[in-house]
Amino acid sequence: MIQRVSYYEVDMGYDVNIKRLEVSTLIDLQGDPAIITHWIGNDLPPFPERPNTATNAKDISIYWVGSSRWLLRADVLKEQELLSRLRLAETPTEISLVQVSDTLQFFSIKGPDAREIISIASAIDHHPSVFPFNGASYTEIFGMKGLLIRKGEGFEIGVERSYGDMVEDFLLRIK
Amino acid sequence: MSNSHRMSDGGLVNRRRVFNFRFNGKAYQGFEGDSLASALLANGVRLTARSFKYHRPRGIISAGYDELGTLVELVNNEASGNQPVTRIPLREGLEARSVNCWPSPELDFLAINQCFAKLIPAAFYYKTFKWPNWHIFEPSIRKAAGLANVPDTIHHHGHYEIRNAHCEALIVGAGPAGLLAALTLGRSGVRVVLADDGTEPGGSLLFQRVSIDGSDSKNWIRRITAELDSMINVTRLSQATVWAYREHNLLMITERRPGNTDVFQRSWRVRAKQVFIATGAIERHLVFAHNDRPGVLMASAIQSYVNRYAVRPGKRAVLFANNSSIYAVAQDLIVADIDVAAIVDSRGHPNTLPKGLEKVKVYANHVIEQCYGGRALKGVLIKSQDGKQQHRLNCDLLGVSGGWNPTVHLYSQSRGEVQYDSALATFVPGDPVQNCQCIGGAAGIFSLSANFQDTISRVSELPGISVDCISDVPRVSDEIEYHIEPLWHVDVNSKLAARSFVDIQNDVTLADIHLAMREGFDAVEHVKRYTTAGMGIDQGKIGNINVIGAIAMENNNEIDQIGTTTFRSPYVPIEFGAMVGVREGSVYLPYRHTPITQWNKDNGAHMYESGARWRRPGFYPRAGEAFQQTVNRESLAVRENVAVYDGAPLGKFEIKGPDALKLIEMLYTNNFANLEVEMGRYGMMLTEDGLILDDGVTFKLADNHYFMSTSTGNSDRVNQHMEFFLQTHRPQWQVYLTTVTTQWANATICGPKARKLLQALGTDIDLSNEAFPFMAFRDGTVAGLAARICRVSFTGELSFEINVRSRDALCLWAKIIESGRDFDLTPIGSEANHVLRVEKGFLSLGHEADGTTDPYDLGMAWIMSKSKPDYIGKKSVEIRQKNRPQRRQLVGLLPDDPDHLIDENAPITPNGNKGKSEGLVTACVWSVVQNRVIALALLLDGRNRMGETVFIRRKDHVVTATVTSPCFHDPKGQLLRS
Repeated sequence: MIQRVSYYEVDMGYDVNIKRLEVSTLIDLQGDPAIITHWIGNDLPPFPERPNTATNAKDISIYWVGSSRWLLRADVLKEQELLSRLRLAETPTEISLVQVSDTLQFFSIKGPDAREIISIASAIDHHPSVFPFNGASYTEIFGMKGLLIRKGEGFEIGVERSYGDMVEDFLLRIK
Repeated sequence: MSNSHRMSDGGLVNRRRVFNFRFNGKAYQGFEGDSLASALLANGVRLTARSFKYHRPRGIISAGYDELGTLVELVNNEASGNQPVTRIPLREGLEARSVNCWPSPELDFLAINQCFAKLIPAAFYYKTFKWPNWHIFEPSIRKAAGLANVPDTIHHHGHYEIRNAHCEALIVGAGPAGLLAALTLGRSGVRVVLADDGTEPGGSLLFQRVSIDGSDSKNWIRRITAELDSMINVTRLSQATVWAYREHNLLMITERRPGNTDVFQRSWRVRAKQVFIATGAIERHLVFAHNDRPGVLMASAIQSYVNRYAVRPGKRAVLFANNSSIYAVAQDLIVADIDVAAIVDSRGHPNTLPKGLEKVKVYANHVIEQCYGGRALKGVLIKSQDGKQQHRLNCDLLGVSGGWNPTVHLYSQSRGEVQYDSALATFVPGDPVQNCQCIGGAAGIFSLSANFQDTISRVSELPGISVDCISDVPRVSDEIEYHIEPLWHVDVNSKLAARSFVDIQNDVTLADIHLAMREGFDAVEHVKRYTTAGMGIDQGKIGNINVIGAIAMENNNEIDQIGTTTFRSPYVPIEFGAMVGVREGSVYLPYRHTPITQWNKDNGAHMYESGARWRRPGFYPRAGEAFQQTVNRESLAVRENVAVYDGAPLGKFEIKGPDALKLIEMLYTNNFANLEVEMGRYGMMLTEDGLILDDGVTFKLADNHYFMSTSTGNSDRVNQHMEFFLQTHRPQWQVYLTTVTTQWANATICGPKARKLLQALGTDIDLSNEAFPFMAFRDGTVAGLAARICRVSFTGELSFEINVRSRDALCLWAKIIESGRDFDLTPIGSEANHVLRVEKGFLSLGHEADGTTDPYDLGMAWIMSKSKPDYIGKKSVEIRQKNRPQRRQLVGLLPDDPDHLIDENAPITPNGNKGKSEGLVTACVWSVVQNRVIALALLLDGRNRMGETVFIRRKDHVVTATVTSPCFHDPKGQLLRS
C-alpha cells in the first residue's frame, strides 16, 4: 500500500515554491560497483564518475554519497518493480543493497530565489562552478545531515524522515 | 531652532525629503541621508549623553562606527539598545533616547558621581566591596552601571536571518581601496562579496574634498558602484558590518537593512578564498584634561559633518593635532564658513601652511592642556611644550587628531600579528596567518594616490587576474603629505590627569592607568583588565594606542616593547537575534517526530523529549486523572491486559557483508557466533574503557546479514562507534552498515493478551510460542502490511514489536487501536514503560548505565563471554576486575515508608550524614505489582548488603530503605517467554 504524503505549497517573501514531496524509492547501494552493476543490470543509470554528482536515466537517479556508496532513487510507483528486480535479500555477499525509501523526507525548492533558500538552509557552496547541475551531496541542512540535489531550476533536499516536520517548520519561518 | 546649524547647500543629504524624529522626547527634523548624529548636530543638540561611570556630560565625538561618546536606545518598532548615534540612518518617525542618564542628559541625578570621582578610581569596587560579600552590593552596582535597557518585547517587523555564502574574494570596506579592488576582481570574473558598514559606499571619500580623474570623487564612486552592480559575479552589501574573522577564512557579516522587507536583519557567514581588509583607518583621540566635553570632536568627524551632511558642529573652532591631516580639515572648515581660531600643532616642525590657511594662527610645538566648559565647550587652554607660554582661547568646537590607526581589528582576529611602525606611530599589519591582506588605510597607507597604486598592485598578483581587467591607477588631486610625531598624552598634573580621558567610553583616565601601574599591573593586558580600558563596545577603536603609549611613557619604554591587547569580535555591537537567525521558538532545538506523533497529540498525549531529540508521549491522561493515576492505569494494562506503545525511535541498523559477524562479535561482550537465522540475542556494548555504551538486540536475518536494534538515545553514538571502529581499526573488513531507524517504524503490543490482539489484527505468521518463541524474528504481514516482528520485551510481559515501513505506521496504528477495542487496549507512554522496566530491574541508559558502570556492576556477569578472544572494552574490564575494587552495584530498594517517592540521583550516605556518598538512587516509581514504592540504586558493594538499611539523604530529611534484589516482578522471566 502506498500512502501519499500530503504536501504544502506556501507563498513566501522569496520568489520560490516549496513542496513537501511524497516518499521516493530509495536503495542504499554499497560495495564494488562492478559487482553492483552486474547484479542490477544495465537498465539503470551508470554510476557517477565524480563524487557528489548524480546520473539519471529512465526516471531513475543514482547519487554518489560516499566512498563505494550510492543512493538509487526513483518514483515510488517503481518501487515494487525495482525491489523485484534487485532481489535485495539475495545479493552477493560482497555488496549490500538495502531499501531505505522511508528514511528520507524530500522537499523541492524551485523558483528564482531557490538559491537564497538553500543559502539559509545549508553552508554548502552551491555555485554552479562548484556544485554542478548534476550535483548531489550530503551536507548540513538546518544543522542536520541532509542530501542536497540540484534539480532543474531549483533544488531538492532530503532530510532524515523524523526531522521532516522540523524542516518544514524552518522553511515556513523563512518565508 | 530646526536645522539651525545646517548649511544652505552642499553635502550629500536630500533636502527635498524631510524626516521628523524625536530624541529624548523632543521633536526635530532632518533630511534623507542624515545620520541621527548629523541631524542632532544640525539642530544644535550638543549634549547627548552621560558617561558610563562618572555621568559626565558627553556629546557626539565621531561620525562613524567608532563613536564612543553617545550610545542611544531606539524605541518602538526598532527597540534596541547601545546603538552608536552615528550609525543610525535617519528615517521618518525615528525615536531614540540617551542611555545611562535619568531623567535626561541635561539633568542626570547620578551626575553626583562626579563629586566622588576621587573615591571611585579604577578597580575601586574590586577593593571596596569585598566584605562581607560582593553579591550584597552587586545588584545595586549593576543597576547604576550599564548602558541601555534590553527591550522587553520585540516590535520590529520581519525576522532575523542567517545566510551562508562562498566567494573567491571578500572585500571588507567599500572605501577607495575596497572599491578599486572589487572593480579589478569583478572585471576578471572573480566571485566577489563587497561588504561595507556605511549607508553608501565611498568610505573616506564621502567626507574628504578630493578629485579623482579630474572630477569630484563622488562621481568616481557612482561610476564604480554602477559597474559593480551590473556584474553578476559581485555581491555588494551595504550597511553590512563584517564583525568577526574566524578560522579558515570564515567571516561574519550582519546587514542592518537587507532588501527583503520580511527580513529585519540578515547575517552572512562567508567563506572566502581570499580576504581583502579595506577597512581604512581610525583617527585617534588626544589625551588632555576634559577632553570629553561636548563640542570636542575628532577632526575627521567635523570634516564629515561639514562635507557630507552640510552641518556646522560649531561656529568658532580650534584644531589640535600631532599630525598633518588637520590642515585639510582646517581648509574645509574655512570653506564652510566656520571660524578657525587656531591650529595647535604639537610637532616642532609643522607643515608649510597650505593654500587658504594663511590667516589661521598656528601654535607650533604647543598643546592643549585642558578644555573649559561643562555641558558644552567654552574654550581651551593652550600651552607651549616647554610650559612657558599659556593662552586661553574661547571656542565652541575643538577638533582633535592624534594620528591615524589602521583598522586592524579583523586582521588581528584572523590571528595576524601587528607590528609597530615608528614613522606612522601606530601598529600596522605584519605577515598574515590566513589568506588575507590589508589594503589602503588598513595597511597604513594614508595617501590616496599611494593607496590606489598599492591596491592595484596587490590585487593584480592574485592568480587568474587578467591583465586586460586591471584598472588604470586613478589620478588624484594634490594631497598634504602625512607626517606625525607621537603625542600619547599631554603632560598634566595629577588633578588634571584624573580628568584626562584615555578611554572615553569606559571613563578611564590617565590617572587610572598610572594607578594600575603603581599597583603592579603594568603589562598592557593587566592594565586593560584593571582599568577596563579598551573593553566593551569600543574594543579599543580610538583610545587603545594611547593606553599603550601611556604605559610606555610611564615605564620609559619603547611602545613596540609594550605589545597590544586582543581585538575581539564582535567589532561593533551585534544583536543576539542576528547571531541566531531563524533558529528560535519551536526550532530553537531540533526535534524529531514519529509517524504517530500527530495521532498522539490529537489523542491527548502529554509529549516531551525522550532522548535523541525524539518527541514521544509520556502518558495519555484521561479527564480528571492525576499523573500517578494515569501511569498506574497504563502500567496495569500491560501487566493484566494489553497495551501498545510507539517504539519507532529505537535505533535500527542493517549490517551486511562477509565480515558482518566479526564486527558484531567485536561490538558485543557476549557470543553471537552460534546465533541461528531468524533469532535474536540481547547484547551489551562497551566503550574502550570497558563501561557500558549501549544495549540492544541483534537478529540474524541470514548469513552475513543482521538487523541490530539499539536504544533510542544512543543510536547515533552506536553508529559513530561502529563507523569509527571499521574505518580506523578494521578498514580491511568488508562490512556494510545502513541506518534504517526510520525505514522501520514500530508499534509494540505487550501484555498477556498481546498474542490474541495480534491474531485479531490478522497475520500470516504462526504466533504460537513453539513456532515463534521469545527472541525470534519473523517476516510476514500484519493487518495486510509487510512487517518484521521481533519477540522481545522491555516490559517483562509477552510482547511483539511490529516493524512496518514508516509510511505504513499510522495505518498499522489505526488498525491496532481499532482491533484493540475488543481487548480494552491501552496506549501507553514512556512513564509507564519506565515503571515496568524498574519492576523488572532492566537497566536504562542514563540511569543505571550512567557512563560509570560495567556489566559486573549491574549483576550481568553472565553477559561477559569468557571464551571470546576479544571485544571492545574487554581488556579494560579485565584489568578492573583483577584489582577487585569495591564498586557501586545495582540493587533494589524498598523505602520503609511504602508511599515515599525518592528523587532520582538522591545520594545514599552512611547514616544519612553529610559526607561522601556510597551510592545513589537511579530510579524510583510506584510499582503496580508491589503496590508500593520501589527503587533501583547503585550502592557500594551492594550485592553483599542485602537486607541492610541504607540512608538516602534529602535536603530536609533522610529516607531509610531496605536493600533488596533489583527485580521486583517475575524474576524467572516466565511471563515474557509465555
